[in-house]
Amino acid sequence: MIQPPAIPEIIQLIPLKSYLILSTALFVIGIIGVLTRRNAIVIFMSVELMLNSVNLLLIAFSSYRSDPTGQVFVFFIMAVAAAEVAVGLAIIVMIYRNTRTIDINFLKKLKG
Amino acid sequence: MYPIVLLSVLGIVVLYLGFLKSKSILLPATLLFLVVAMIGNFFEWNDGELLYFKGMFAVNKLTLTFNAIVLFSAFMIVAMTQGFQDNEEAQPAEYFALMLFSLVGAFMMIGFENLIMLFLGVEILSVAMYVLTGSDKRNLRSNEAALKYFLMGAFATGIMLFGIALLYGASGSFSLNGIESFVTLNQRSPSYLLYAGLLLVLIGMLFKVSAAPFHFWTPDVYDGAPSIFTAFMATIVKTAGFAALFRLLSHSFSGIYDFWWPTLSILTVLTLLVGNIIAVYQDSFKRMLAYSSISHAGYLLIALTSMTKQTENAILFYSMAYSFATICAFGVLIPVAREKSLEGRPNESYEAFNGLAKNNPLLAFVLTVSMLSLAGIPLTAGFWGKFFVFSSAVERELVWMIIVAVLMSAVGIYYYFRVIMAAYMKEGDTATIRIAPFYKIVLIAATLLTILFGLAPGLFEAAM
Amino acid sequence: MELAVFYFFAFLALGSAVFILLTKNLMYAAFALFLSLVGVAGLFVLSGADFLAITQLMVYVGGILVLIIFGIMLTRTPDKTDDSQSANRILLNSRRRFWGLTLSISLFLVLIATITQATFRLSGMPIKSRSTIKTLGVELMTSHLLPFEIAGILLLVALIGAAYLALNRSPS
Repeated sequence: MIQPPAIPEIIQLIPLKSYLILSTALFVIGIIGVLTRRNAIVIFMSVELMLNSVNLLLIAFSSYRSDPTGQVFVFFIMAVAAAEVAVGLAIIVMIYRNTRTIDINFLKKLKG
Repeated sequence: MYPIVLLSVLGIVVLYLGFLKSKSILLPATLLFLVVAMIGNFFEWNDGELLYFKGMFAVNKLTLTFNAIVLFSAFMIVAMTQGFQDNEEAQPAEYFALMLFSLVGAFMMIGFENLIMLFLGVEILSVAMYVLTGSDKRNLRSNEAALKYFLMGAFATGIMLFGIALLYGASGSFSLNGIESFVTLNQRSPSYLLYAGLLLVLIGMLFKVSAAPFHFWTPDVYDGAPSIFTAFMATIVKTAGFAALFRLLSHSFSGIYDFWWPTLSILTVLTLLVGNIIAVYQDSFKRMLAYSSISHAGYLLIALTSMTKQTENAILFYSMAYSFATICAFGVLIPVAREKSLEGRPNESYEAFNGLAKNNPLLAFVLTVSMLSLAGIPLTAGFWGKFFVFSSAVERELVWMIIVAVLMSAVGIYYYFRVIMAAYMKEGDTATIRIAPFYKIVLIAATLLTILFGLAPGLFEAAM
Repeated sequence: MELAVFYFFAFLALGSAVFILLTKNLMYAAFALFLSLVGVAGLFVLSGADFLAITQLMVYVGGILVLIIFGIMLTRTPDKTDDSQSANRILLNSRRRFWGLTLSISLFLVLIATITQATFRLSGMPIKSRSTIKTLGVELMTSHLLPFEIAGILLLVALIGAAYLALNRSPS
């Protein structure tokens, strides 16, 4: 399957499928984190893990196809992740500012 | 292409206008900018199919019409912020700019030709919406809604991205054309990687348009956000999301229709059931509108699932009718809820509407027309929206789906009429609510359009 | 040798990710995230994406992780008695541990099954340059110019939004 001239020498030694399985595992760990943990910051870290697994997957595909567009996409994902984290932490800090004094268990506020 | 450039630049201009002492210029300026973008939108009307930036972005009549719907909805919503900015803490420059920028994201979703553009468009729209949801900074409900929306939105983005990565792995391209040629080449020997990728991308997008079973964030977020931004979410995000889904499915994946329609049809039926049945049990009008938006996502999904020649028109007409009616509903809700506020919070329950018709005949009339249109009663635009959707399903012979949809429309009539009954039949005293003149004009215009398209749906096709 | 390096970084990334799942201490979780990101960056280098590996370290570790740690510290209660888990009261209600696990593991199995049976078309174009920086730069400035500009708008939106939300104009 692997054609020697197509791929940088280094990665010929590692099968593409190892990369895929690894990134799938990372992705699923991220999903488990989002679905089972309660702390907003940990959920957010899990989302970052998911994005990282996507980056890894894209780079693996891109290298094995020797097609740079996959890497360009990773570049944009990084930019978006940075934007998201800024907004997300602003929301968390805003909430903290309101709950610090009021001190209620917030989950009860909205039902469902 | 013009509206994207115009709105990006004019959004920055709005930010600079925010430095001025007087905040009163911001609203007219933003409205003017939206009109300018609308005019710019139609510059390309007669140019046929255009591709920009090496096949990154497409412009054709369909995308221009979607753009026009989005722009018009945005115009009405921005006009309804009149009076909303009175409180001294509000910083209108910021949220007007965010709204203009988020429209750029919506245009990206409508006209994307490459999955990179889809991803960036979704993100611009979502990030702006996270902020606008939390813009009522002192209100814990708004804060919590923003947090929930943010976490679930980021999660959905992650899922969608993994799907895009799998699509890239299978087809070797991010462009719709590249994926399409891969799909047509490999129709015989299915690539499961492609299927998995498509499913994950669909899940990510269905999260954004709040289709069941990925709707669980919707009621809380719609309820917690300030009403004006809920209207924005319920109309513009949904229209852009369905435009994107339609583009993706009709363009790239029409070759494997047999694979995705069964999945989508199950989700459609689930969405219809969940949205309509839970809406019956709501006590809050705003929460009811949230579930109603889920159920309308279900009707739009019927059109997507059938994917015939009529689908394009059905989705356009339906999202237009739905957007106008929803904006009217929120346009009535905002002043009424403020008038009847309890303990400093707007009262968004059904009781707030009791006896509305006595002193506020105009508001009650607008409310009635919008509810009739949402319920799909003849002589309103909503009826023809449902008609087009159902007829495209008939063409595919998806009979069982239509049966569910018709039953659920009947359920819908119950909860939509509840508020009309409250306004006309129930006892209650509401003082005459003073409404700014421009606000009034917008409400009347949207109502008249709803009736006009209800009487003559052909006008819309003639304009196309 | 290369395989050994691959497994080392893979283990680093996965092990730290699992640690984030299990730990109660937010600070430890942030450091585990750091290790995981470094592991992924190492794998980037192994797959020939040198520029992105550096970007990964700079953006994620230098930017995102530092922000997260700031977030953890800013939302800490001054109360010394609390341990770091309860210090952060921003919790969501979650009683779905069982379903979450079942769903995720079944998704994992489906994806693994999909991947192991897939065959990949690999292109025959040899890679000439030793570094990807030039290719990436040319791509960004030619065929991906529009997304590049639009990403600028996205960052502007995030900037305005974050400043708007975090700003406290009237202290009460």
